[in-house]
Amino acid sequence: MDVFCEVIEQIAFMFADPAEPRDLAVQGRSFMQASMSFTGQMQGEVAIAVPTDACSEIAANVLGMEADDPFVTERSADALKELLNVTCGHILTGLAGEKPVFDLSIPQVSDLDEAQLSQWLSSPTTLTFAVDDHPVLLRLQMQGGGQDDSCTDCR
Amino acid sequence: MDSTALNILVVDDSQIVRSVIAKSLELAQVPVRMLYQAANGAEALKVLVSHPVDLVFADINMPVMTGVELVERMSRDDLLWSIPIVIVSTEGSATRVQDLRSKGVRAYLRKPFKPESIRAVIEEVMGVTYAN
Amino acid sequence: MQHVIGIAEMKVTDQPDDVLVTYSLGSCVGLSLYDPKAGLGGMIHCMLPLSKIDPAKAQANPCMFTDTGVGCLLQAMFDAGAERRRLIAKVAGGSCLLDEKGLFKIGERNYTVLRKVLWKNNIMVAAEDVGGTASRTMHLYMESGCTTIKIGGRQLELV
Repeated sequence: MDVFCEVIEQIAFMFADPAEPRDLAVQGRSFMQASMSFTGQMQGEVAIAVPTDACSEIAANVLGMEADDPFVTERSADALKELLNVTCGHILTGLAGEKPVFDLSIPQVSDLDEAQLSQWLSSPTTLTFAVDDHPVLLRLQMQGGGQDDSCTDCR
Repeated sequence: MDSTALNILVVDDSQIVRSVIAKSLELAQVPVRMLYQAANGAEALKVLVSHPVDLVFADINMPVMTGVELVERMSRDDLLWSIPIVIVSTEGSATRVQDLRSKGVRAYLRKPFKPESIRAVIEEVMGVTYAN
Repeated sequence: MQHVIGIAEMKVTDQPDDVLVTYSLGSCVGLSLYDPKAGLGGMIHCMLPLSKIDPAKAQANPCMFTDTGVGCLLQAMFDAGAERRRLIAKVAGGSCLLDEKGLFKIGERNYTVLRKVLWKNNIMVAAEDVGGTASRTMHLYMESGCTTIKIGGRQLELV
């Protein structure tokens, strides 16, 4: 998904490359996730999972400050939400063009436990990236018109 | 203080985005008298009724009151309608931008933006030029 | 006097009659810095984005890499008496040329890393001419502080 690579490069000056899940060093790392839904011509949810330490790196880069600055660490969750928010906006224009209007929900952040992480990794709707050597997971689930229960893989 | 210095209000639920806009203003050496911040449209209206503001930067997608509602409220207000608003948002819908422009929004900056585009948009909207 | 800044080189000057020039900025990035009050100028030509691919080379010549080189140029400017708030930064290069690995990303990534270092150092980019597929030449005329780009036979001022 080129959109995500472009967004994280522009927002956080970090380089994302698509990676195979088995090549990602996810073991023993704590992850944060952020998710948001969109409604309009299409409906669905976009979510992202990022190692907790990488979130402060993202915040530091966005702000142009050092990662161990308390001002930065307090904004890790905020940085993750904003990364998702911008990614979501660009995914939607990528898929639907500039005409349709979408309503976006406010991104919600939470910690990811091991069971949730393996669920993410086994889901066919999860895209996996190496972002400056950090494993990053992005999930896009779409609901077709009228078939609210059918999630489709929209890669 | 420079008599042309601006009172600017930045409205975004993301504190990190407000910080990035504040840093961009500082690095661009835009003369700012007061920099107010608000986390949503409702907070922004509170600032607007009690403080003189020359320019508003507003996000669209915010809790409590969205940027779209804020723009609509301001456009109907006898005192606030003339304050220039710049939308800073991730949304790429030309339809929505067109709609907001018809309600008085003066410029639209799509996230992610380069820091110098904050200065460029102020120059465009306020009709000023800042030296390098 | 004209000083040519080669690939992976930098130069700082306080001579008003100097001209700094760097040729063939393809996927490489060039940065010119000018402090009008101190009469100081500097230029660098960086080749690769990140020094971590070859720390030994980066140690021997930090200017080869954008992440280490830009910091060196800034430090040299500050050591010579430049002030951060007065620095006028102009950027050129970062084209999408086919590199040896067959990837097109080196130019783009050089540019991204340059942006990162400047943002972290609280310096705004005043003007730039980047991307595309052409090669560029950048001049900094110390007398006026003017930075120009030559691209495809045309010369234009970066403002």
